[in-house]
Amino acid sequence: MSEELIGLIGDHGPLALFGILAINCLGVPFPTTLLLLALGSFVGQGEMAFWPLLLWGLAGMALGDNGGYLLGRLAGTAVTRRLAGRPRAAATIARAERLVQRWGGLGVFFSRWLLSPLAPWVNLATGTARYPWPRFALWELLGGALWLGLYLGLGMLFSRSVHNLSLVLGNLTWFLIFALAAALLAWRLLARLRKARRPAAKR
Amino acid sequence: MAIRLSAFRRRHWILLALFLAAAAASGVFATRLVVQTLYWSSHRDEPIAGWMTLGYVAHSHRVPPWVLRQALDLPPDLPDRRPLGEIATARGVPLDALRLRLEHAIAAARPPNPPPPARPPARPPEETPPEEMGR
Repeated sequence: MSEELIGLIGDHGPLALFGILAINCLGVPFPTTLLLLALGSFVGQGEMAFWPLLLWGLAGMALGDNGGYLLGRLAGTAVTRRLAGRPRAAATIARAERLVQRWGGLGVFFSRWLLSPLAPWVNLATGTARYPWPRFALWELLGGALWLGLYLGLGMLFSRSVHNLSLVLGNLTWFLIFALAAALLAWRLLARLRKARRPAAKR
Repeated sequence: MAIRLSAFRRRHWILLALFLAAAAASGVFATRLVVQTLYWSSHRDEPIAGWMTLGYVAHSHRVPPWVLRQALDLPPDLPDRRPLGEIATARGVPLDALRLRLEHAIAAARPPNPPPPARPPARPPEETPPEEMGR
């Protein structure tokens, strides 16, 4: 797959990166880590220019991410309408919405560059929970620019070791995702444990 | 306490199981991260893969690119941006065949052999195969 993507960019230039990232941000898992590092290496060797890659890439991400957000938004409106007569379900959804309103910005920002496999899901979730669109678009743009700049830059810096670097970064990303999940679950477990102990302490 | 804890476990076993799974997965990836980093520090040469262009292989292995173009019977002066996998498909040969030729050429361009010049020596033009000229 990496071979075809790099071939596409070799044939069509940075415009191909626009298309690849737009599709990727909608949830198609392309090997973008290796792709961006390899492009960074080509930039470092003077074979490609940095800014067209960054700008076309950013535009492609914006299209795909905002498309995902819009899909979530449409789905969210449909679900809310259907659940209007069921107060318990509506309460659960309202709680989820409050959570997204509070953490959505950070979620969007960090899922662009540090926890990037989560990005398509965060797009859908923030759209479904009706997180304000201008804020979504702003965090998406900032996080996306950081991701593209960081990965292209790392590719330029380690231009002879793209393959090894992509393995290391891939493992680092998944380690962070699972460590974060474990920390959140541990926090929930401890909260329940404390709750379960409290009545016993009163006795 | 033991009874209460077991009741707790029964009630929240899903949460606990998820936590243990996530902790185990993060452990696996942390181990892989360390192993890959150590591997990287001791193996500077990357195994030649289908996504790599000739320019990248040359850059990564620190040999002049024309040496590798010549090894694949491509015009030494003309940069070729295709990934190796694409070149192999175009020729109808397995990638491993190209990889072997490149590895030989890299070994021949490195110590203890004398380093090749940065630019290809002048050669008669009939040695470049016509079907590759377009790239």
